[in-house]
Amino acid sequence: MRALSKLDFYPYWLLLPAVIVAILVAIAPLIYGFVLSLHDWYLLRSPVPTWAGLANYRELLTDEDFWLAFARTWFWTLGTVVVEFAIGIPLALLLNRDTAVAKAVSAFILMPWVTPFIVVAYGWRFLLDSELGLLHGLLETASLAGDRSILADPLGALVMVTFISGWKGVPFVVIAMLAALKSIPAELYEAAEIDGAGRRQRFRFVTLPALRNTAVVIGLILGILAFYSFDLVWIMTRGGPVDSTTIVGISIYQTFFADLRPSYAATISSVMLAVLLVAALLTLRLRRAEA
Amino acid sequence: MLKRLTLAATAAAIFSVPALAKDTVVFWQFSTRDAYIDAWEAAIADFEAENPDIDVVMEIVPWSEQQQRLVSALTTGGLPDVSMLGNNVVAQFQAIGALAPLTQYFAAHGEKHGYDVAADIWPGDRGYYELGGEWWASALAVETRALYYRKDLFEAAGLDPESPPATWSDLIEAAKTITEKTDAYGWAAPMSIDYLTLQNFMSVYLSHGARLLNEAGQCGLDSDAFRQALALFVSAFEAGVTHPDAATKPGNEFRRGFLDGEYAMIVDQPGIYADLQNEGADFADQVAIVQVPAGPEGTFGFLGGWPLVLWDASESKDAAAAWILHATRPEGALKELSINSGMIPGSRSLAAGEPWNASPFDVFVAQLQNAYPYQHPDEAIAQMGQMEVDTIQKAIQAVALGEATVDEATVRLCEDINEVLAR
Repeated sequence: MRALSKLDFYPYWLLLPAVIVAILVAIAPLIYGFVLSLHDWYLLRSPVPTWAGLANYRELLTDEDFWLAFARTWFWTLGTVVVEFAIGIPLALLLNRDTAVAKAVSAFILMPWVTPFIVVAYGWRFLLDSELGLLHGLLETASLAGDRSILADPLGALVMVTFISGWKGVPFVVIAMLAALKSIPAELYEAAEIDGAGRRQRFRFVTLPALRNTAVVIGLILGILAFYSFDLVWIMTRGGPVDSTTIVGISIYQTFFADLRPSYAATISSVMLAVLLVAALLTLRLRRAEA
Repeated sequence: MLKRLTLAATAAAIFSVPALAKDTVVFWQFSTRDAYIDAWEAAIADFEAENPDIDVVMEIVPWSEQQQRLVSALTTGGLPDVSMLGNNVVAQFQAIGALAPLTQYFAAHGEKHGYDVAADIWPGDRGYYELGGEWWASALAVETRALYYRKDLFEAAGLDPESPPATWSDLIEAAKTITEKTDAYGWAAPMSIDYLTLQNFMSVYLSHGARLLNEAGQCGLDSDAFRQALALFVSAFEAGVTHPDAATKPGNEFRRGFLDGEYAMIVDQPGIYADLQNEGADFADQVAIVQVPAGPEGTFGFLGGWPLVLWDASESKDAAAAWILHATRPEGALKELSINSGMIPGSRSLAAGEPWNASPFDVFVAQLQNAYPYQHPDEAIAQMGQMEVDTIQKAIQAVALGEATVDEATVRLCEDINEVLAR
């Protein structure tokens, strides 16, 4: 057996700084959050956390407001990803064509993605204003909105902010899908054509399978981002009307900063992290099983 | 030898630094308006000239972020020595044990200048800042709301421009007439989850005799008086005298709308008068300001304000207290600060003189005699900051949007408030 030399440890030394940074930046706060969730810390009652075991988790189980926010968060997350793909994939297919229009549009496609949330939120608020909003006029004509802005309707507001969230993420899907489309060898299409495949069949049996891996990874990333959303909803609706757009990100914020309960906020975060972890693992396992 | 001497001189220079070290006072100031910042910089320069051993470092923390910054600093460290604070959350931070009392500094300052500092603070502020027999904040500014109305629109609607609405019911009736007969909405009445909504509505519920807390210290809003007030306030929305999106619009959009001529009336702070002048609105000379309307139990104005507080974590408490008193007392920088930033000073004696004894401030100063906190007539409670965020606003919004009846919204509201009180 060969004795280990200094050289054998060299790669680990090179990795060490990155590992330390990862632990400090990502792992340590998660551990701290979990430890905090096992404490009772309501700032008005106690200036320091005191051990409470699983009390916060027991409270969470019967917290109706949390479970409603949890359900809304799933609607919001899945809705956001569906909108992103429903608009993003057709756009990517269009931009994949070698036309002047596609080249011109490519330059603008990143606009929603790079525009700050505050600008997006106020822009959409203006579009949905019941007096001045262009989009409100269209929604009114289509009987999807009444005299008031759709943001005043609890269900309408949730659907609309979810759509806007998806709209903002479309460029990410377009760019990723475009890259995946460009990487499909032309020979595959040629072979399919020789085998008698029509356009639809080529799309179904060549394009879609080639996009699947990218779609799963991108969908997972965008889903995770959507799951912890806060900015857009907060600016547009503050969780209203009547809590209809209060998603978990807003619950965490309010629990910490308004209710002054850091440990309960940490409990919600820990549960969300666990749920997200399980959902992500299941998605990836499902993907591997299909492959 | 020379080397030794040089080393000794260097060491002496290094170790002599602490003797010359200044006290540094970190001060969080919440306004982002240029006029305010300039006024504060001048006050700091003045203070530092008088106190060469103290440095005041001003950090701008916008009002919209102050709660997050303070709570974060409270839980993880990094509190300033001195900060501004909303008057309604002084009790909250005092209950947490995060503030240091100012009583001894008030006494010393009063002795030096020959007057009673506490007696010079507005009576309404006393309930906010004097808790458990100690003073925890020094009033910087007070604020109340008055009714701004457009005489030209009153006239156009066939109303007497010299007879502003005397009661809340009169106001809504006048607003209906104006909305019907002119292009403007009668009243900029917010119904959304926004501080402005509660700041408007509290005058209505207090004037109907409703109380936030009952004798047992529980929610006292489950009463006929509150239900009547809620129904009356929301009737403005149902009658269409405010913007159709009033239940979802942020408060600042109502202010903007009044400045743009979209509304005939608004209940608001003194600052909007300065905005009308600065923007040169063509109807500015048609705007009159009067006290807020009355309800069956009288007139009750909103009592806002912001003091400076000394954080208990400060390691330079004496220097920090000296800065607080310089900024909040008439013999210090308070007059200049107030004039330059357009606010009403937290000192009663100062507010009795110019320019606050003349239009438009005189209306607000008079209104302050009838200005009260949300929980009037009870003392400040530590949970007020939590309740102010959205409990009452949610009830208003739910009724306005037809998502709950007045009764349902009131029951739910009291459940929410009692839950906060029971934690």
